[in-house]
Amino acid sequence: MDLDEKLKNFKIIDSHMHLGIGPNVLYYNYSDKRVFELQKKYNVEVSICSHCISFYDLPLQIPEIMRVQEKFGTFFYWNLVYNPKKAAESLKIIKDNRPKINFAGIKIHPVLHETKIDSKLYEPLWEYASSEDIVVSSHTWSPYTDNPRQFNGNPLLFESVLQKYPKLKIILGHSGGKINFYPEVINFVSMHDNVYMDFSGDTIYPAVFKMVLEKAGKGKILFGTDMPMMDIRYHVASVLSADIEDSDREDIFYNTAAKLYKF
Amino acid sequence: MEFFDINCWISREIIEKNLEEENTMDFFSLLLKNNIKRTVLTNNLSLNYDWKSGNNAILDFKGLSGRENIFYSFVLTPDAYHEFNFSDYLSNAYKNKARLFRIFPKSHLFYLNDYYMRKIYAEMAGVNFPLMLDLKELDITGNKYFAIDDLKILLNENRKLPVILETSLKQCMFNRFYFPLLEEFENLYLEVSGMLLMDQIEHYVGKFGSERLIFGSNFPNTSLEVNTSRIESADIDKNSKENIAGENISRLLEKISL
Repeated sequence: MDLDEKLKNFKIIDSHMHLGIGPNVLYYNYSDKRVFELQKKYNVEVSICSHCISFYDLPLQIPEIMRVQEKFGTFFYWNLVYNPKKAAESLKIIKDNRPKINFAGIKIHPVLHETKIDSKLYEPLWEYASSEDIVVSSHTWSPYTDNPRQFNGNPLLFESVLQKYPKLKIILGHSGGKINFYPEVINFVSMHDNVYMDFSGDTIYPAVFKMVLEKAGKGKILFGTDMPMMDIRYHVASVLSADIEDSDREDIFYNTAAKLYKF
Repeated sequence: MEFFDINCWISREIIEKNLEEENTMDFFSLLLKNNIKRTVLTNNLSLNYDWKSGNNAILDFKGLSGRENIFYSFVLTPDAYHEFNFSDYLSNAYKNKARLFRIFPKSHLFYLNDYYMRKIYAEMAGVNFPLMLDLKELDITGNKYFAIDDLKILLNENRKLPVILETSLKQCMFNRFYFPLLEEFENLYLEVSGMLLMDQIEHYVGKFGSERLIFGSNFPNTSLEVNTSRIESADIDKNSKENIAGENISRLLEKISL
């Protein structure tokens, strides 16, 4: 497949990516510039980024974001991180800095922060995001895994949250991450208007896009890569090779995210 | 660009029925569509049920025999050494178009450097017959550590044995694991289907050249088209792409002296 040729008619919003490095993510010769170059090469017009440092040091995310913003302008929009164990500090940073940056939404990582999605520690976030109409993107993963920390990110735990906060707009990052879990997640998404899926990460499974369209309908999938952990070429090829209409590809690559984030 | 896929999993169902997900396209048309001109097939049954039954069964699949572009990989356990005269087993496997042996120590419960396996490796090394293994299969105690030291013992004791490491455990595909191994052991090759990190293929080629990367699709666990397009779109020169797509494995298989 000639990616350049096939991508000619599509523009992309990458709704799940990062800049920076992590302690157990062993990039070689990492640079922000290379992430930017690759994204531009594959027609990404806007990237919604949570900086890796945000998960480990809340205040430091702001100068990092400012530094990147100065260099790359409005190419990157930002998900600021909410750490449930530092709720007040997280919300203060979000409130103070929303007007100063290309703010997109809020990111949570129940696994890194070792807090279950339905924990009360997220209540201040749900209150705030609901009242301000802010999109929350969550790392999610299958509970059918050897790693018990991933149990915290079971996307089905959003059920009780959404019962209490029905207006919350939630993106299930990685959509649970495992092929054998996708049917349960798709079924869950089909029952909630404001819940969206991205298939970023290390599971490359083109057949899933048709499954979602058939069972949950149009407008539920956002394109995401999880760069620089993953190479964008796999994710672009996955959407391009899926057995779906080009209009659905346009939605996945761009339209659904543009509508959700009001770009 | 033409591909030689060394990591294609099949079952009787895949070969003898149309692929459900592809609807109208049968397996061979799918290979053709993706320019996969030669393939090494492994029977799922050899891993999931019994190595010997699976290896034998694949030879009887309808539609496979007589296809010049189809080769096989047989799965081995230590039993292969004491149940058979292994030299004969190796020769017969080669005559039946087996071009790789694969091992799954964790799934099949044996130690990578088992007494019999060491004898098997030595015989394979003597005729340059490639061994393919998966890093996540090396630690048989189930605690997810990667048992790099066991792999180093194998590589060190069998410097002439071509060892192809497949990469289905993504967490293992990070350079800190592989760069030192590639530096130390020239007989180590990497199959690329799990090399998902940003620019990972480009980094390996930049540091070690393209001669030790080998195309594999891990079909049907991953998409043929997605994997071939990753090589086609790689930011490396044409010669390197051709090496990875098929030249490297072709050269390796030509060295088998049986």
